[in-house]
Amino acid sequence: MFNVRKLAWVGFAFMLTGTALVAVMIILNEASVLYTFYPPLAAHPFFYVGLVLLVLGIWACCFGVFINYSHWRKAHRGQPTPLLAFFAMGVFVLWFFASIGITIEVLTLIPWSMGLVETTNVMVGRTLFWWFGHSLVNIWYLVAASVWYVVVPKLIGGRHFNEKLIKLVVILLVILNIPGGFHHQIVDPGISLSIKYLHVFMSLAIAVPSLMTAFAMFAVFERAGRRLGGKGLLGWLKKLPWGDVRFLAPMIAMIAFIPGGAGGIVNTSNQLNQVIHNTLWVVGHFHVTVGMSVVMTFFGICYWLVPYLAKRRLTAKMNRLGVIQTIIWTVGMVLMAGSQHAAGLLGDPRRTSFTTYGDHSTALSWIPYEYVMGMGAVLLLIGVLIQVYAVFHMMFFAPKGETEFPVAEAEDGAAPAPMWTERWGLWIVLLLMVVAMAYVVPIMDFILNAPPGSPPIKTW
Amino acid sequence: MEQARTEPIRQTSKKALGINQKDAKVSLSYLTVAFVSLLIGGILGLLQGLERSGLLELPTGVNGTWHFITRCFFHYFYDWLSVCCSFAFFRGPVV
Ligand code: HEM
Ligand SMILES: [Cu+2]
Repeated sequence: MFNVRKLAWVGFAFMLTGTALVAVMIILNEASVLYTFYPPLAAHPFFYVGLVLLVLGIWACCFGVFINYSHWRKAHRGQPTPLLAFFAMGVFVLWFFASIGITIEVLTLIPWSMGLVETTNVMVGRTLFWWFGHSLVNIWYLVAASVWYVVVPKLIGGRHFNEKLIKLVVILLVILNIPGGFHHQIVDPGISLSIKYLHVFMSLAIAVPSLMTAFAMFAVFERAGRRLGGKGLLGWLKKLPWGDVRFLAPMIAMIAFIPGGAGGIVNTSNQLNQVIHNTLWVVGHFHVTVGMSVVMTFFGICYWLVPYLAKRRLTAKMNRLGVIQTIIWTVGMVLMAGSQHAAGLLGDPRRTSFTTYGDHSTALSWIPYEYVMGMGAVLLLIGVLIQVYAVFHMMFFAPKGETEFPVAEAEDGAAPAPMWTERWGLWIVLLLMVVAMAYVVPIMDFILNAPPGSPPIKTW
Repeated sequence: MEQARTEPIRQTSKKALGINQKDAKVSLSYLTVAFVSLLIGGILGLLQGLERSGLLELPTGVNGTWHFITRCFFHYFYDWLSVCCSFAFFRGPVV
């Protein structure tokens, strides 16, 4: 029998080596390709080798979980997988298929960056990058959503929502996800209008499971709040444990997904994207979505997961520090993301250094917003310092003891999810069909009607 | 609600979830890398934020690299933490 834990360690070693190699190449200024490392910008071949190692590490973890899953299914015939494990399975399936795009991209860039081939097809590279890049943000989101659905209800003394609906959300997010990558290329040349039109719909399709999430979560809150004696239209809100950081942080994260999702719909609409593309608006968008919805959930997780894993306890004092951290982070992110959205609407470009473009009046109008952004950044660093302190304190110094792994249960008498939800083979086939539908035509088009390829370009 | 802050969450279920100590070590190792990355990313991020606001000047040449490495370290944070959590979330209920 395969040792799954060993695979997780193999993954750790590969990921760590890859991470280190990538970081070293950037620090040596041998990888000035920006975070979106698609061509024509080229890095040192070792940068790409580091990325390959990172992906191999992820795959080791994926296979570990897949093997584990199949063992579990064999040993528990006729039983649906526990919810949290079902989410984790979705996360790793998405990791695996998302990373195929980046693997193909990177493997074609290695010989190009070494000078073995002269040119590369830029559109193919960008498309494969976003196949991965878009799915990656949804991987983080799915991890966060698993906590919203399964952990948060337990923390507020409630039950989780209908298991079948939750599993359906996971399945939809996994199947529909990858082609969303095209919404990062709305202003790219070389993609036909009909394909772009198709992808506006593909992107908006993700809104369906997101709205299902919003509805389900608020139903859970209201039910729990009313059970605790909340009266009237909104009285149940007051009954929620706002002073408990394990709840407060993911709750603010969920609320942030409302402007985050709305901003996403702006981004993915053809005409509106022309206004905000490559401006600070996009940076504001991902500070709300990643910086709040995802990261605050991850922070909230730490306050039970770290003590749980380290066999320690969350103290009232640490909880208080966590609440303060959450407030600082929220204020910091609101200042940061709010000013970035506003500056972006005024045309302030992203991915640049400070400049006034020769004191042009438009550029001068951005400056007040940029100051606010700087203030946000100061608060956020304070937030990071507190959070890092909290995590290492809980890992090594908090009082010893047992902490519960909080997993909500179903409502009394609720039906378990039907067994068809476990048909991962079928979900993967559907995922591949959706990918084929989205990618075969445009990629063939990029290759058959390719413009001249690009040599490697280094800007600095 | 008051008690939720300090006391363990009310256990309504008999079947407590468990993750074994060896798995816990795996997850904690991933988590450690994630938070070291967050710390590095946070410091670089503040300097970048101040630079972008015109409040601080970074040496030319370092500048572009700075933007990139900041974001990379933040990414390491999300990626390592999502693997850590998913692994723990999988092994916790299943094994
Ligand atoms: C309703 C959901 C969402 C939609 C429709 C959406 C849509 C978009 C679009 C169209 C862009 C590209 C904007 C441009 O460059 O012109 C974008 C950028 C981005 N989104 Fe979202 N988004 C959504 C949610 C999220 C979530 C949940 C995350 C993270 C967890 C996220 C993270 C990002 C990031 C990191 C970028 C910037 C990528 C880059 O260019 O470097 N988004 N989003
Ligand atoms: Cu996207």
